[in-house]
Amino acid sequence: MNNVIELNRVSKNYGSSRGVLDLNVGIAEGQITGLLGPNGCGKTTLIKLIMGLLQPDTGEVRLAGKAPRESLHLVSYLPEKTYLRDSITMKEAFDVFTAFYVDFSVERARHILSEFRIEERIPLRNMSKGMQEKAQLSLVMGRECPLYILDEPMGGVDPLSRETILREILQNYHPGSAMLLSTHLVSEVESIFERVLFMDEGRIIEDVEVEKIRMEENMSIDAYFRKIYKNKENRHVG
Amino acid sequence: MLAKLIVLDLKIYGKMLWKPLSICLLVLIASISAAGSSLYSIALIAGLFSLLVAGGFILYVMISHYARHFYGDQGYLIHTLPVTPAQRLWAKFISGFLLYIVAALILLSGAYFLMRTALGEAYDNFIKLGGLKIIVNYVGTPGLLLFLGIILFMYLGLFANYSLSISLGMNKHLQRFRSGGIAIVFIAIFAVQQLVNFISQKVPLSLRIFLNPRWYKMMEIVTQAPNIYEEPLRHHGIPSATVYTDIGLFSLFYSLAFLVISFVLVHRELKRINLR
Repeated sequence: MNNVIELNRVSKNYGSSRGVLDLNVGIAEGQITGLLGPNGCGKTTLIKLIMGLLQPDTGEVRLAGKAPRESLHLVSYLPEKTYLRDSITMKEAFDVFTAFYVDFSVERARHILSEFRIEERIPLRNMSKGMQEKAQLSLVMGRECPLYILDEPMGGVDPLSRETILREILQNYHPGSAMLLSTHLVSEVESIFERVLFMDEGRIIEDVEVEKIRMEENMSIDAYFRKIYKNKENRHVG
Repeated sequence: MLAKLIVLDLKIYGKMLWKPLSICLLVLIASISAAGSSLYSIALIAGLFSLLVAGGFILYVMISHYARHFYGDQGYLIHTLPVTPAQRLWAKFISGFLLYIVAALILLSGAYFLMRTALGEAYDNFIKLGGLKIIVNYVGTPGLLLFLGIILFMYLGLFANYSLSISLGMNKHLQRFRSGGIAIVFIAIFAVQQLVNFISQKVPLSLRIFLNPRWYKMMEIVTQAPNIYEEPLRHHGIPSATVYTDIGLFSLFYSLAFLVISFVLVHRELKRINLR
């Protein structure tokens, strides 16, 4: 399988605080990959580097074999922040996505929005944080493209809504597309991953197939996640 | 894609501006209606104030929209749309220009109607005597073109100043200062401009622009320091009413170079965006 994302020796330093360090990773076509790690471990920085929203200090990022800004039409991206202005309604947001993305389906986005029980005509400012995240997800999953990058899609929502969000991601995710999903809520989403990257302090500390964790370690990803970071903590204490 | 970006910007401008501009327009209409009455002075102040607020608000929207779209949270959407950095920049430039034209029309027409009503009979007499015709004839088409050129140049300077201040002020070296970074760049640009203007006043090389080009010529380069003057140039056979204004060539070349450099630098910053 070809890699849709490739990072070669990528580092990004934020001055006093660390970003990411010497990352080498490839994400294959058609694979759902989890990007896991505690808050502040570098997940969002890695995603921003892939999307061309940050420039690496060293190394190279390739998206579908090209520089990120040349392949943006191939990616449906959900940032951890609310990227729509607060006065916009979802109806207007659908118009924006229809204008810029040929692979955007208003019907699909409307369907997802109705599943989330959100009105199209409500301005974003009148929605809760959780509703805003869901509304943005309807835009992102309303596209049918080769790569989905979702940065903490369930960060600010209640447990019940997380189930709904996960269901909508899985139902609307186009088979054959690759997905990179970052989260620190491992137990809620682990069932969808085929591969997981564990990050800590700006580095990828483990890159494993989910099947291998389940078969060889006889563990859930959540248990494996806890084991890794507990070991690391113990080493720090030791 | 450029047209779509421009439409997107214009829709946002419209949404941000329609409420405050409607209020200003209502105040202005009320002021114009009252300008001919005994409330003449209050109406005039209220009208001019509403125009000032409208102009200020349009300027604020233009600049804050640029900053929010490129360097705020909305940047996560704008910088991941499938468009080139040049298209992003041109869209902001063109939509900003259209907004600037709207602002200029509102301000000029508002001021015109306000003054016309306030002057009352004096204005009517001025028209009856053909005053407006005299001014138009005096200035002529070249004068009008010059006026439009100045309006355009003012926008170019405005856009170059705020786009460069924001884009350099929010780059990876200065973004830790947040809006302080923008202020640093703006002050630096302003200081250099003042220095250039000061030097330009001493350099004996100017572009002389005549208000009435049909009486002499529209412009010429002179080896004199810049000056704004009305003087009898009888030895050239020019009527005493000749009015000219000088622009220091040193300052002019700097301004032109600044426009080009600003565009290049802003484009480079948009290509190498760093959203933290």
